[in-house]
Amino acid sequence: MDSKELLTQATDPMPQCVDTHLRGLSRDKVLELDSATRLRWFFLLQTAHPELERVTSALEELLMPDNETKIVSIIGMTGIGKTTLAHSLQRVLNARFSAHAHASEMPVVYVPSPANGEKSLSWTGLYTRILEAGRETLIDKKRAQTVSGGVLQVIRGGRATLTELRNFIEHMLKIRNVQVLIIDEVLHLLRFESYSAVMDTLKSLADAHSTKLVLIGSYDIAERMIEYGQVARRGEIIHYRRYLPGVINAAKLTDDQEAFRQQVAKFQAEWPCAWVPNLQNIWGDLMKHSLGSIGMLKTHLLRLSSLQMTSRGEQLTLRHIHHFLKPPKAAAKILQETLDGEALLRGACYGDSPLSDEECVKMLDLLQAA
Amino acid sequence: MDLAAAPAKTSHRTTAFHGLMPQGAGTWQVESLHSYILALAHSHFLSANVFVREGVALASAADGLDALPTWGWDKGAGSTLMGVSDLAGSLSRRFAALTGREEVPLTTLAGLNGHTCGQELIHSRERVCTKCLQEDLDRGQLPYSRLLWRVSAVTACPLHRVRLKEAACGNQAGRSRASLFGRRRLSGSCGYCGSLGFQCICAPELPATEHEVWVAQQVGTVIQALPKLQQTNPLVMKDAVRAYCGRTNGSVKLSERIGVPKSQVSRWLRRPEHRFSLPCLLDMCASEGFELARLLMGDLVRTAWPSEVRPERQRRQFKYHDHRVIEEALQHAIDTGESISSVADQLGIDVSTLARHETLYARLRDRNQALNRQLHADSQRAAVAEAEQVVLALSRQGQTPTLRNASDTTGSRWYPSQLRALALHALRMRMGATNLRPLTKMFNVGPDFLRLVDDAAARLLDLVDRKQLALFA
Repeated sequence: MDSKELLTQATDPMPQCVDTHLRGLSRDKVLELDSATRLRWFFLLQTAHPELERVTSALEELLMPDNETKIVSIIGMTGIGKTTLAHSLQRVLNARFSAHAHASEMPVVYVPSPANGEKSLSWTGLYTRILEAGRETLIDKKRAQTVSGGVLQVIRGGRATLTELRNFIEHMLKIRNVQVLIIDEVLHLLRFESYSAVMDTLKSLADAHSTKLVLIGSYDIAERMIEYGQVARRGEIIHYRRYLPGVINAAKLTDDQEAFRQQVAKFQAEWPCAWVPNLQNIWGDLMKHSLGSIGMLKTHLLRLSSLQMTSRGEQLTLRHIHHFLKPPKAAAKILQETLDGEALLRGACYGDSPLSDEECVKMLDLLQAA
Repeated sequence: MDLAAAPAKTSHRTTAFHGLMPQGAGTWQVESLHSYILALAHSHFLSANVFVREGVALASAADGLDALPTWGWDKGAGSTLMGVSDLAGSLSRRFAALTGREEVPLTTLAGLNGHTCGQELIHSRERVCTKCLQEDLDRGQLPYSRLLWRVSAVTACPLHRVRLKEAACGNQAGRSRASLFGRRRLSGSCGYCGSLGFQCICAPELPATEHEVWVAQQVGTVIQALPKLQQTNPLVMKDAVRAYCGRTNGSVKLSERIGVPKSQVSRWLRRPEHRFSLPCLLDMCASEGFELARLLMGDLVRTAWPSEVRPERQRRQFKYHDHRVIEEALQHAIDTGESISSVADQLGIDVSTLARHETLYARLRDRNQALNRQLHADSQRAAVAEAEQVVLALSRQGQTPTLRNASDTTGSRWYPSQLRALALHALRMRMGATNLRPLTKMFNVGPDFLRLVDDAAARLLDLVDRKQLALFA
């Protein structure tokens, strides 16, 4: 197996049956396994870092049942780890809610929204995906029913209409007691002209049963979410930021640089090969080429480890160094998109205050004064 | 919330079906399993038949559970689902697993399997108390059919003291062809005109007798005590009655008082596996002043019932049979391959009389079962062979082996419900058809059939060339 195949297999986003077992293993145990499994373990590895903790804590506040926010958008640069964050969020929320939930309830529903090459939004496709994510059975064979004048009637027809599908979803959200509906890659829903109609529909769906919506997307959706956020009450944007590389002064690192360096150290400590490269020595280069994104750093390190695993004696060579980083043109494009997105989101996100730090301190003092 | 330390996998595994709680669970007003299934299908916006036949098979397969036989689940308004049969027990446990509701087994009398037999237990038609249904509607909930109403011995509602009515639609105007096509099954609502709470029934309200109300109350207490009764050893009841007979002039007098043949009582007392029918137990309670639920738990407390309460059973008239003739007939049937029911028909006796000749009866039954299995296997083999031939012929003619092409080639219609059509479908899938989905029936035909299909597909793959194989893609 060459390194590309190894990497493709290990980074398959679909959950695999060994994942649960792998997540519980220590590095010592993992080193006894074959290369594909080691790489999968490294792919599944999640480590805490300050930005993840900030996003998490913001999410925790907004997703509390007594918080009025109905729509939370998580926006971040491509490859920063939003989908990984969504999966972790799903597992954590499930664990939290399941203590009080009945076995038939589904506190969190995760809906991937892949591009399907259509020129206009397929509502049927979206509704069907939501129903599938809610573990509804025989969706094609569902038929609506009405009660009017004390008489129960089933509505006949070839297929369920959009209104009927929507009713099925509302019923599913209610009967499964769905607390949070996560829609990933939301750009595929909002890239059409009628994005505000999409948002209104999603919001009204969530309103039908006090379900909170979490929409995940890259900077492409930033403009639309800000625009919609201005008209929609109870909507918040969480910006999943990268660490700013800046100019590195070894004597005095910025907070972002220090956080990134520590993250590199964590990955080095969990390196999936017996021979461990000294990543600490090149953390500055890694930060520069990963644009300060932990997700992109992990992509680079996964590629490096896959190259190492497929080489003789699992040693690194010059060829590996040539190949493990993202090509400069692709990185430059992502950087440009990221800079534009960051500029757009400045002052529009949850936690962005109109007051400066000094003004905040002054206000707190005034509030606490006797 | 620490996302980095997210659990590897949450212990929360969502059930395949909505977790509807059976209505009235834990009370005498609990709904029947049939009613529960209809409500569950309604909640999933599916027709009951599709839900049970396909939904249960798919959900069971997804949860790694074996397929359950659901053929005829709706026969007799679901009468097989509520009694003491194995199907009632297994299906209720399956629904409990698929909905996460442990209360579902309380919607059947399967918990009484050791206490009473299935004879005269469940009525094969739906009967309702329209007043109870109206009260459901007044409470703002969908009306439902009670398990109590399906018990044959119960003919009245203990709450409203009126006779139960047959659930027969009296609304001729509402029974148009269109409404029949558009009908939706839901217990407590008319299957023909859709009237919630069976407001279409035009039969008059008749007051129940004291005895009818007493029977309904007694059965109601049993239904309420089902969780306890499931845990009770049925032999405790027999021990208590045996001791009671010792104090009260013996079992012969008891049999006379309750109107049951003395041999039946003595057999019931002697043999642990013998069970009385529910009406028989009710007669015992009526004559001796027992409470039915406490009797089943072996607690014989005597109560003074109203004077109208008395045993209802007529002593059966026995015909004397020549058992030598029966033995000869059974032996002859074993030699010639006749069925048990045809022997019983010819002799003018019932099957239970034949069953008293245990050895011969068991031989005949086993032989017939083996024969049926053989016939079943032959029909499967013939279906696969026919499908194999048709597939080969069509692929050589350059045609895709669809049902329509098969019909044109063979000159007889191929329907999706036929076994040969299922074989054809499975063969196409095995040969690489990617646009086909497995039919739900495939989960129910058994592994032998699928093995035959695999063998046939292997043979066909050797016989067809690449161009012909492209017809399957």
